[in-house]
Amino acid sequence: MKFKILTLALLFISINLSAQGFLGAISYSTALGMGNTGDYIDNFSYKGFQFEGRSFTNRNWTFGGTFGWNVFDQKITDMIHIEEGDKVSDIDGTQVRYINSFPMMVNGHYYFLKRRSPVRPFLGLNVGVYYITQRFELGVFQIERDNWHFGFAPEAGVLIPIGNMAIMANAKYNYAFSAGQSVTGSTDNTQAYMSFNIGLVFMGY
Amino acid sequence: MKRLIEQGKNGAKAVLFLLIVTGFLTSCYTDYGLSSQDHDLVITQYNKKTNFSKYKKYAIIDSVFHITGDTSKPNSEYLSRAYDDFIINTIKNNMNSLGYTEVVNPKDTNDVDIVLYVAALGTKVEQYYYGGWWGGYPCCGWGYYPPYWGYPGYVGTSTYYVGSLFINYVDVANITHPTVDVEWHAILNGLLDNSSHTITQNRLKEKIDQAFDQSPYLSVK
Repeated sequence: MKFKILTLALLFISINLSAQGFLGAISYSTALGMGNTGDYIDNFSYKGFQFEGRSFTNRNWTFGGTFGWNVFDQKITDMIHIEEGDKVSDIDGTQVRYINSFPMMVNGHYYFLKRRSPVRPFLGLNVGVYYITQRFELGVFQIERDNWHFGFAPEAGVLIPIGNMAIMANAKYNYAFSAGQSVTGSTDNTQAYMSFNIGLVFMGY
Repeated sequence: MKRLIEQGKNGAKAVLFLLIVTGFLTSCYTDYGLSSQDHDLVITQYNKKTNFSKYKKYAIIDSVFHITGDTSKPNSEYLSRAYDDFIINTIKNNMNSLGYTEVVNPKDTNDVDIVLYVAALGTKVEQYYYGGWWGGYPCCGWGYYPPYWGYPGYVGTSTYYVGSLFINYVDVANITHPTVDVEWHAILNGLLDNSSHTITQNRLKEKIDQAFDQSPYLSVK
């Protein structure tokens, strides 16, 4: 149900784009896990992208939507040590850990300075859902969990116009509320990461 | 107008370029190119309450039990007995290094403190996947027999073989029928492949040694 609402919202936004001043962006996205995400994978992620559409309601405000994909992965060879009561287990083997996060969000942004300024800083807030899959591989065994999380992502960035196009650089703090169970069996399945994005913007005004 | 068309073309090229770059960079599950050995696991477990220093003398059952699920079949379909002696001797070397004394052919349970026995299990795993999507192990070329692909256009299968070795360390005073409490045990698990005898022996030795290395509390020196 929530997926249908989101799809309709994104469709509505895309229709609006053709009617008003708009910008569309495609960005390369990197990310660093924080909280549970960082505990599970502390590697910096260089794999990701985001698509975005924003519609201007006046000179300083846009509303729009975004879809992204961030891939976190890490190969670990550390020993696993588990104590349960009197039973102690040690496991030696190669672990491969993955998280794939797909944020699908609606957003609003406020732009500082004038439209024709050489640099336009902006602040924004994204609200929506994250579809997050987690996979844990150890030896020939594999566990996978996937969950839909509600979440939000405050954002700060700059637009650097170049003719009818622009370069956009932004940073987002992605916070996905706990949902279901994590791949390690924990019911605290909150996920968070900081994403750093740089991309091309196509200006429609 | 010409300028607008030119800008549109440039924009489309830029989008295409970014899509290609991000497409190359992004895939759900990175292939780390793991070898058969990278899938080896060594698991050891013990009870914290056990005082291992009281054990000095051990005996080891001189053959490996092959778990077949059928008492009339003593040999596993997927495992060779060519490594049994090597496995037993490697375990003996580790036990002797930890300060234990082997008792050969004990007359009764009073002659030894602990008994070790080894079991092995070979399993055939068939994996099914749907066209274009790969979700598991191993990639092409692994396994004792090469994985085969079938049902073109509909579903594929991959077959691989997994071997497990169980090393059990039992206090003879705790042997009660029909169950046996183990004080320590090690499970070695990995993909079976068609490597040479020497390579397989080296892999077995490395993993058996690892089981004892990660269990320093077994030392009675």
